[in-house]
Amino acid sequence: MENRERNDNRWVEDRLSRLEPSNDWRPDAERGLERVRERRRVARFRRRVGIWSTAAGTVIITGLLFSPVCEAAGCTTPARNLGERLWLSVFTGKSEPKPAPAPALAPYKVTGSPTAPITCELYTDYQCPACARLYLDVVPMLLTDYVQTGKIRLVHRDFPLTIHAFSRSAARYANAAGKAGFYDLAVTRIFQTQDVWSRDGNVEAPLSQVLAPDAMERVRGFVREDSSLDKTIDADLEMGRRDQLRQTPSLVVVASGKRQLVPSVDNYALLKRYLDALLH
Amino acid sequence: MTAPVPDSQESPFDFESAFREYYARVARLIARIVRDPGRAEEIAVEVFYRLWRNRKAQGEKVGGWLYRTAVRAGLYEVRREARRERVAHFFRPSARPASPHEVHESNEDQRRVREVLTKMDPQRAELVLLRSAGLSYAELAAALDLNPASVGTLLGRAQQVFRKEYVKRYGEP
Repeated sequence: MENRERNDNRWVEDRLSRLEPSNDWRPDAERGLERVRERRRVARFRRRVGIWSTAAGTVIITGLLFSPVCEAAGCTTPARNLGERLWLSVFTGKSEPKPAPAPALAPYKVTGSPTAPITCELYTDYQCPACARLYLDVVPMLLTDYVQTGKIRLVHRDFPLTIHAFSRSAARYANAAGKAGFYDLAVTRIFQTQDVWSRDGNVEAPLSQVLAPDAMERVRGFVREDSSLDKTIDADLEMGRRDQLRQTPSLVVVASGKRQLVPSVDNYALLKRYLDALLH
Repeated sequence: MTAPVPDSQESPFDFESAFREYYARVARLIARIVRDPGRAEEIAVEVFYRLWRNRKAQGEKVGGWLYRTAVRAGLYEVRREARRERVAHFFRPSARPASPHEVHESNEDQRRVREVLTKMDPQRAELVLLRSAGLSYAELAAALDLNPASVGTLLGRAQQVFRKEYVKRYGEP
C-alpha cells in the first residue's frame, strides 16, 4: 500500500515537474509592484467616478421626476411631471385622468371676432421674462395683422409657475383689472414693470400709476374679496395641463376643431408663415 | 494556566515587503498552470491587488493566502481559456496557424497535465499543484486551511485521482 502511494507520488511529481517554467525566466518584481500601484490608482479613480456619477445621476433623476426647472429660453411648466405620471400609472392603474369639459373662459381674456377661423391661446407667466418680451413685442403685431382683420381670435391665458413667487398675485391683479374693464391696460403695464414688482411682489404700485384712483379701488376690492379670480387662473392652468405645456410662453392654435401646441412663438416671421399656411 | 493575551493593536501590514518576498514564487506558481509567462505575471499582479484590498488576508498567514489564491486564479484562467478555445473552434472550425510562441509551448505533456488538473476537484488540483511547487505539508495545511495531520492522506488521494484521470484519458505512458 505504502509502495503504491510512493509510486503514485513519484509518478504525479514526474508529470507535474514538466510544468516547471524555464529557469531563464525571472518574474520582474519591480515592474509587478508598479503595475499593482497603477491598478490601485485606476481603482481609486473609478471609485471616485462611480461615486460622482451615482450622485449626479440621483440628482438628475430626482430633478426629472419631481422638480420643475427654469430654462434659458423660457420657463418649464409645473404641469404634471414625470414623477406624478409614473405614480398615477403604477399606483392607480391609469396613466392620465380623463379630460373634463373645458372650463369656462372669462370674457375679458378674449380679443377678436368670435367667428374668426383660428383661435390663438397664449399662455404666459407674469414673472417670465420671455413672456414679457413676447407680449410687448410680438402680440401687438399679431393684433394688427390678424386679430383686427378678423382672421384670428386671441385668448390670453394665465399660467403662473410655482417657481415664481409673485406670478399668481400678478395674475390676480390682471384678472381683477379685467373684471373692472381694464384687462389689456393692466396686462401690458404688469409686463412692462416686471423688473420692478418682481423684487417685492408689489404689483399694485405700477398699476396705480396707469389706472384712475376709483378704478384702482375697484381692482383692490376684487383682489381682496373675489374668489372667482383664483378659479379663473386655475381654469387656465387646467387647460395648460391638458395642452401638455412644456414651457412659458406657449401658444396653442385652435383650427378646424384641433388644438396644436406651437412650441416657439418668439419669432414673429415664423409664426406669421405658420398662421398664413393655416388660413389658406 | 493563563490564556495568551492578544495584542490590542495589530502591527501594520507591510504590503511592499510581502510583495517582494512572494511575488516571484507566486508568478512561477501561476506560470506552471497557465502557458504564457506574461499572462502569469498579469495574474500575479491581480492576486496581489486582491491582497491589497482584502484586509483579512493581510497578516501572518499571507503566504498561504497568496498560494491558494494564485492556484485558484491560475486554474480559473486555464478553464476560461479552454472555454474560449471551444467557442472559437465552434465559430471558426478551420484552425488558425499557431504562433511561434505557441508552437514552442505546445508541449503535449504539459497540455495533458493542465487538462487533467482542470477536470479534477479544485481542492485536489490545488493540493497537487502546491505540493509540486515545493510547499511542505505544514505550508499546504496553512495555505488550504486543512488539518495538518490529514494533509498526507488528502494529498495521497489527490495524487491517485490525478493519475487515474490521466490514465483514463491518455493511457499509461
